[in-house]
Parts: sequence; structure tokens; C-alpha cells
Amino acid sequence: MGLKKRLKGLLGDDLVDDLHGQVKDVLEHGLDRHVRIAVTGMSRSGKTVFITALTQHLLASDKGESLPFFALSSSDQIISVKLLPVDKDHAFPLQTAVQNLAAEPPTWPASTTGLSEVRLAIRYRPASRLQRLVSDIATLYVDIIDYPGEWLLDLPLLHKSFEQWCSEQRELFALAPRAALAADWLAAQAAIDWSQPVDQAQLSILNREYVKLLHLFRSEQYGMSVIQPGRAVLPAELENDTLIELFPLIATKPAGTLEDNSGYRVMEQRYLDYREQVIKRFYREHFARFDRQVVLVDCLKTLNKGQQCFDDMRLAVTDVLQSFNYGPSGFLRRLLSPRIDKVLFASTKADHVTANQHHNLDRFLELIIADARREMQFEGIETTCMALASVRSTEAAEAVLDGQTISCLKGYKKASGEPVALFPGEVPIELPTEKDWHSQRFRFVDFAPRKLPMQQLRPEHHIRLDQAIEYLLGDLF
Amino acid sequence: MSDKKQWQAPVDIPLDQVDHQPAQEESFAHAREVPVEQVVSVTEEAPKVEREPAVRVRKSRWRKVFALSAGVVLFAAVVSEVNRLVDWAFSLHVTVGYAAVAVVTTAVVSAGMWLLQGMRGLRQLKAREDIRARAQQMTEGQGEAIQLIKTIEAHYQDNTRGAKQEFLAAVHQLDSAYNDKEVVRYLSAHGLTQQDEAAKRCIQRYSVHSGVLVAVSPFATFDMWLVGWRNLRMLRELAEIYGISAGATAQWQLLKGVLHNIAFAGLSEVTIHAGTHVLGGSLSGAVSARIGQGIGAGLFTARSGLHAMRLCRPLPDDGHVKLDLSTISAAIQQDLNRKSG
Repeated sequence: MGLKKRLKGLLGDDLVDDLHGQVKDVLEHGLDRHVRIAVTGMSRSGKTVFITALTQHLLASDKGESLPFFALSSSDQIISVKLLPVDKDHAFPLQTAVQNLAAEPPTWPASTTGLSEVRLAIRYRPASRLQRLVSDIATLYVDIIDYPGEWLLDLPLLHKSFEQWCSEQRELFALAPRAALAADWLAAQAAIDWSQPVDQAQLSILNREYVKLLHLFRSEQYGMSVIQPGRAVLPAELENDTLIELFPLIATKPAGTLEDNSGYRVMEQRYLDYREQVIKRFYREHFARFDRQVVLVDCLKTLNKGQQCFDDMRLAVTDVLQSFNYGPSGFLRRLLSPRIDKVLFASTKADHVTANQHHNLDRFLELIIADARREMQFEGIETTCMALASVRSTEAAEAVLDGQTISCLKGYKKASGEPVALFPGEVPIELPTEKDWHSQRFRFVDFAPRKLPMQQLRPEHHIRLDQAIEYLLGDLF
Repeated sequence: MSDKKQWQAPVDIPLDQVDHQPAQEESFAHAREVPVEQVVSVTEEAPKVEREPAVRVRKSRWRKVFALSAGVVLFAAVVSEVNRLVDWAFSLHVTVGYAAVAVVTTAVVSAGMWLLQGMRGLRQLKAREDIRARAQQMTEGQGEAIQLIKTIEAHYQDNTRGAKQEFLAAVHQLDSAYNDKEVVRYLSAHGLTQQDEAAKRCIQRYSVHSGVLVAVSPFATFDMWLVGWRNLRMLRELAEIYGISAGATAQWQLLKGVLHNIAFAGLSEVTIHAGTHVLGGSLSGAVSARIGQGIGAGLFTARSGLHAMRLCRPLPDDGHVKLDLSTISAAIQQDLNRKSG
């Protein structure tokens, strides 16, 4: 440890820690082929279900039945797939999720709140001759890491000063529904003179109110996406830590030179601490070590909720994608920068619209992420959009109404459990205009899951999960 | 809102308020406004690319006359010869005469049937090509694939080797959520596996045959005939595997397609194949030049087989019609080693 300390003195903490992580990676994985897939998305976008279904289907992929578009599985090259043990603190609650989905009646598993991980080993017969020269059997280790999209939303803060962040939040808080919901909190904040020292107790009251507000924003009712700082709502191991007591100052920056102990400077210092000790740590320990990224987006929810929710989601997604930017590249920078080379944008819950709308769902997602995607492609990151359903909860059906045959969905309502059949409307392929939001154009219903059996998984239990797997893993075999 | 005019109404302007410049009046058209409702939008047509007519070899008129007259002469000669043959047979004995008539009729009828069969194969090949083209144009929408599936189904009239059953089973497995493109990909990968497997085995067998034959044959000129013979047999067998009536014309058409494909194969493919060839060739060439030749012939046969396979399949392949060419060269070497050892 003495050497490490001295190195840290010479080179700086970050660099040494990063190098340490890289060396550890190399030693741990050796010559094994190893891939880390990160799965993220805003809350209730279907991360847990996605990972559960992905794992279940992969575990059964040696039978070659349920993943027809996953070439390795359908050509019977997979010998076996098994789960590997992971750290207890980070274990993904696979068992519970599977039990939930297999129960009678099946329920959607509870959402996860922190970082969790599933580790799989896929043993297969390689098709390439070069690999067969080495051995007839090869193993690919797949780590699937789940973390809240809110944490990802923290990453853009790395490039922003406190002042910038505050002014962005100020714009946000001027819009409905935030402005109305936060009126009291804004008034309380405005009553304080931030150029003077502020009482600690007062700050923690404001913070508590702010956290409550954030929870309200992201609740089912409002469905807002831009929630910063992310740890305020999903603290994970930082529960009750003073580090996460942070909120933006909506009042404009007080003029004149500010004392170090003034309210403004105190908050700024907290912001810097949060950035250094929370975001940077997450970035270095996890984000920088991911190979592939899955971003799950629930387009339907936002279409249902209306324009504010939609605009907010668009802002969040665009903001998040900025973090894939490498920034100015330099040798060391490149060495330590994220090595994500493929990003899959999946609009989940494709089973909640009729099959002829999947293509529209694809296009719609492409529309939302168009700007960010261009930048990523410029950086050489491969991206694709896909409409998928990890666990299919509806059946395709047809109905004759007024002499016209329309395709519709049959399923069970999530809220009441009663069977419904409906045509939920068309997914727009252009950004909806003012008028679209007011007319009753979209009515997407939340469905309860259909039972996901433990054995004998079939292709009809999912939509395009196999193509997602092929995209994420297909080039590694 | 909707009543508001989207266009500017024409306005009369008194003449004396207009600067009149009669000298230039003719030289340009005045800018003026046109009421929107009188305007018909012009759809711009893509400019037609004037294709340079291919260089045409002028056929001589005499050639035509010659072909026609020669055909008539030949036909007349054959008819008269047959006539004389029958006459002569009758002059020997009545039964011999009847026998001759029977033989001649059989020959004519069977020739006609053979030709007909060949035409059927030709038609089938053409139909497959159309289906493939249609399949390749499938979009990510829904609904068009059903028609395509029906067309393909109609093609499997005689259920050769359970191919139709397999195809129908794959159709049955289709998911309602697949779009047209995915349907085509799924069926191509899962609906033809038995036929594909049989075709691959066939190609492998014939490639090894022709490779070994060339390697052990003592005459260089003889090699070419060997390879050609094996290739034609392989093409016929492949056509049969995919349910195409394998007449001479269909075979000829296939051979033409294969040769065309090989001649214009993408550069990458050529380099890959050349790579395998060079690797295998140099390795075995050190052992014997003849084994190298054999491997070359085997690889050629395999390549033409793969192309024929693509031409016979009703659906386009996306990369899964491939054969490990290295296994073929290895098999040839093994076979030769066993024979010499």
C-alpha cells in the first residue's frame, strides 16, 4: 500500500485508482472473453423485467427453442449456460423476480433501487476455425449490470458548474407542472438571503422538502424524467449521508463577492463534493468499465401522460446521451474513457401496441434520440433502436367493428386484473403537435404480465428479445 | 382559422404608377403573383438516364436465311430418312414395320416430354428468382409477407423429403409480432434447414469427388472433363433437392447463373477464397503439385455448388448459406493420404 500511496502523491488519486481498476480487470479476466452489459432506463421502464427475461431465456438457450434470431442458440452451438455467484450486496434479485412472473396470477416484479448484477457463463462450440484451433469449447462470461437511469442522469453534471446547473433547473422549475407543485418550496427558498450564512437546520428542511418534491415528480402521476441529483431519490449505499443533501438554488446568484460561509458558497461546495465523491466514483468504478449499454425507454408512458412528460423525457434522454461523449481526446483520456462500443435503445412494452405499430415505435424512438445518436455515431459508437417486450403480456387478436377488421390486443389490465381487448391507437412517427395532445389520440393501457413458465420458454413469450441478444452478443462468438 | 386565406389576392395597380420601360419590356418576364388555388404542384420526375445502347453486333441477313434453309433441309432429311426406314422395315415384314413405327413414335414423344420437363424447370427457376426478389424488397411493415408465403407454399407441390412439412411448420411458428422482414429472415433460417443440410452434404461430396479425381487423373486435359461432369451432376442433384424439375434446360440455366456469379463475384469473396486456396495450396503444393490442383478443383466445385444453392432457394440467404471450405480441402487431403498410404 505504501507504493500506491506514493504513486497517488505523484500522479493524483484518480489516475492511480483508474489504473488499479484496469489492471485488476485484466488480471481477473485474463484471456477469458468477457463482456459487461449495462442496462439502464428511467424508473419503471422495465429494467428488472428485461434482465429477468434475458437471463431466463439465455439460461434455456441450449435447447435452442425460444430465441430463433439468436444465431448461436438456433444453430445449437450452445452447450450450456449457468449463473455465476456475485457479491451479495450487488446481487440481482433474480429468484424473486422469476417467482413473481411465474406466480398465479403473475405480477410484475418490484423495481430495483440500486446497482445490481447478474453474471452468466455461456459455454459454446465456436464456429470460427481460428477459435477451434485453440479449443473445441469456448466460454463467454457475460455480466449484466442494472443501475437506475437517475444515476446516469447525474453524469452530465460532471461537465457543468453549479451556476450552470442552477440556471438549467431554474428554467425547468418555471414550467408546468413543476412550477405549481414546487410553489411553496420555491417561496421558502426565495425568502432566504443566500449571500449570508444560512442555518444548517434550515438547509436540511429545504433539502427534505426537495427530496419529497422529486419523489412526487417521478411518481406515476406526473412521470417526470429529469430528476437531479439522482442519489436524492435513489441513494442506495448513501442513505442518510450528508453528501446527498443537495438541491439547486432557483433564486438568481446573489451579486457581489460572496463569503466562503455564505449560503450560496456552502451549496456550491456541496455540489462539488457530490460531483467528486459520488458521480466521479460511479463513473470510474462502473460506467468506465462497461462494454455495451442498453437504454430502455418507455415511449408509451410519456405519450399517455402528455406533452410535459414527453418533453421532460426527451430532455433527459438527450442529456444522458451526452455522457457517452468522450470529450477532447488525449492518450490518457482515451485509455480511461468509457469503452462502450455498442448502444441499444429499446422502447420497451412493445406488446402494449399492436404489431403493426412496432415499426412506428422504432421510428418514434429514433426521432427522440436523433441528436444524441448522431454524436455517438460520430464517436464511433454503434447504435440501434428496437421495439421489444421482455415478457409479452398481450395476445394479438382481430375484431370486426362497423364492417372493418381491426387488429387489437387482448390482455389483463394491470390495475384491476380484468380482461380487456383494445386497439390502443397509433404511435406517431412525427413529434406530436399541440393538437395531438389534446385530442384523445393515445390510450395505452398498462397490462398485467402473462405467466412466464420456468421451463419450456417459447418465442411467443417475448418480442424481439432474441434480436436484442444477437445485437449485444452476436459478434462475440 | 381555416377560413383565413393562405395567399395574397391579386391587386390592380394603376398604370401611371408603374415605371414604364418599354425598351426592356420584352427582355424579361414580369414577376407576378399567382393565386394559390390556381396552382397545380409539379411533381418533379427523376431525369431519365439516357442509357448508351449496348454495342450491337449486326447480324447478317444471309445468316438468317442460311439458318432457316439449313433447318428445313435437315428436318426434311430426317423426315425422309425416317420415312425410308419405316418403308424398308415394312418391306422386310409387317411386324418389323410396326416395330419400327413404335420405336420412332416413342423417340419423338419422349423427346417432347423431355423438352417439356426442361421448360418446367426453367419456369420454376424463374419463379424462384421472382420470389427472392420480392422477399428482398420486404419492408419493416406488416401484411405483405402473407402473400409471399402463399406463393412459396404453392411451389411445394410434391412434398419432396418432407420439405413442405418443414416449411409449413416454420410458418406455423411465426410470431404475430414479426414484421415482413423478420418473417423472411425467420423462414430463410428455419424453414429450409433440411433442404439446406442435404444441399450442403451434396456439395461437399461432389467437391471431394472432383478434387480427388483431378488429383489422381494422369492426363491434364482429362481433368477439365472430370470437373465439368461432376459439376453438372451436382447441379442436377441440387435442383432436385430444392424441388426443381431438373431437365437439361434448367441445368443449363443454372450453370449459366453460376458461371455468371463466379465471374462477377465480389472482390472480398474472391480474396477470401483465394486466401484459403493459397493457404491450402502452398501447404499441400509442397507435398505435391497434383494435390494442390485437386484442392483447387474441389474448391471450385464447392463454390459453384454454393452459388447454385443460392439460385435454387426460394428465399434470400443472409449469410447462413456458407460452407467451411477448409473442411473440403482437408477432406480431399485426407482421402488422398488414405489412398496413397
